[in-house]
Amino acid sequence: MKAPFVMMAMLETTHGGWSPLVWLVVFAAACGVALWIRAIGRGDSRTGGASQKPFLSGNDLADPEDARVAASNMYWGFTHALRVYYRRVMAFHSGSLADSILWFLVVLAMLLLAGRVA
Amino acid sequence: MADVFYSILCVFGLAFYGIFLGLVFSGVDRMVVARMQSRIGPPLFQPFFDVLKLLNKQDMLPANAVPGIFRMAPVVALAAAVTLLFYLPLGGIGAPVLEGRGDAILALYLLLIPGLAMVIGGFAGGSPYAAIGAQREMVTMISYELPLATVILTFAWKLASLGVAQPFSLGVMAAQPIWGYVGLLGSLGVVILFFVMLLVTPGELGRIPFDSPEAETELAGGILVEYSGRSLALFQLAMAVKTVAMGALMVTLFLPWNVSGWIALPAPVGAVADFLFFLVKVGFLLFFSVSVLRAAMARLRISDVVTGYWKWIGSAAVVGLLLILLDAKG
Repeated sequence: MKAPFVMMAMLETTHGGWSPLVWLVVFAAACGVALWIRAIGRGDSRTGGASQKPFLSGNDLADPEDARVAASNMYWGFTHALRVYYRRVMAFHSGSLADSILWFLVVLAMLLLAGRVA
Repeated sequence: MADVFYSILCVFGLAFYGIFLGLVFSGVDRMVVARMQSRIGPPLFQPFFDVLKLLNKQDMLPANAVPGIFRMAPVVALAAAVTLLFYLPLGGIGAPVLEGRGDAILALYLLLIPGLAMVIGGFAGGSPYAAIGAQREMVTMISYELPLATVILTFAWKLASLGVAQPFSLGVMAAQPIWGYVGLLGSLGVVILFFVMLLVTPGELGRIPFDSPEAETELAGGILVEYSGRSLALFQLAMAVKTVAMGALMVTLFLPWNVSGWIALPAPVGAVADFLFFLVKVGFLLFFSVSVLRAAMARLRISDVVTGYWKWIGSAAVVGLLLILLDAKG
């Protein structure tokens, strides 16, 4: 026996596919299960006082903006580990439109050549 | 009407199947690691007690939090993890419940959603520790996706090269074990991919040595530091379900055999035997990829996580792919 939502439309590629409608129906039902479990739990909570302050090992957070990670640090760890690569790639970013168009043409030529070889 | 009842039964049944198994595996992991460290450790069902305790605690909302997003992130995480189970072959069930309605690419995206929900919840918490934890989780996710995608693509490519229809289908991957289609060189490639997958799993599950987003000793719980009560319980349940999903994915790709394929058994007995064998395989894989690594290693720095996944584990995955390619050409 197949569930009725299994019969909904598919988005197929040559090698696979998926049904967004089926996914949405199942995801909505799973959200229902999660909300039900959440509803079992205790819903009340204290407001105000120290328990609502962000945990910062007893220190004061003077400005909520201090809790944010700056956009320039968003991928720190990744950029640090691959810093040699980034240093070289960033050197290519001269800010000149002519350079960007040149790189686009070089990459396009390489792709066309690779396609021809394959 | 019977179809609707079946659908509801499927959702609830799989949700509680995943939650129960995930918490049991978590309990086994804690017991095993305790024994490895010469400790007595908690009882098997301690994760159940932990979740019940959390459900009875207050659910605090931090002063700087974005309430709607902060509250909904754990719900989305658990729902996405449960949804994933519908697309994976689960032991005695054999083919996925939604066989043919979603493939390995969808499974890859669904694996990302619980982590993304944690990232969004962490940023919405308004805490410096949670924000740093969320940033680290994001970087960890970017890191392990490369080797994971390489493993999946290699399997799909191999099946496609054999002329198999729908090579990205997880049901097809389970029905046609790759080991039967490769020679000696290819087998070596599959073994390498197997070890790659064992190392991707702790990253997916946020376990040591890839748990820098939580990092209790430096970030006091990091991404989850502001979560409490039922919201924290939902995140724990999401991770439990994701543990089962990762185990099922590894079994689907590398150890998809069933007992009923070797021994002729009556249908109901065969299904039970297959299911028990599936649990043994999942437990075996999680033992090596989660428990042994957790007991043997310390936490890596976030930059070392990236280096590990992109340079070493990613390179190993590419070597595995190349060996299987060479095997096919030879």
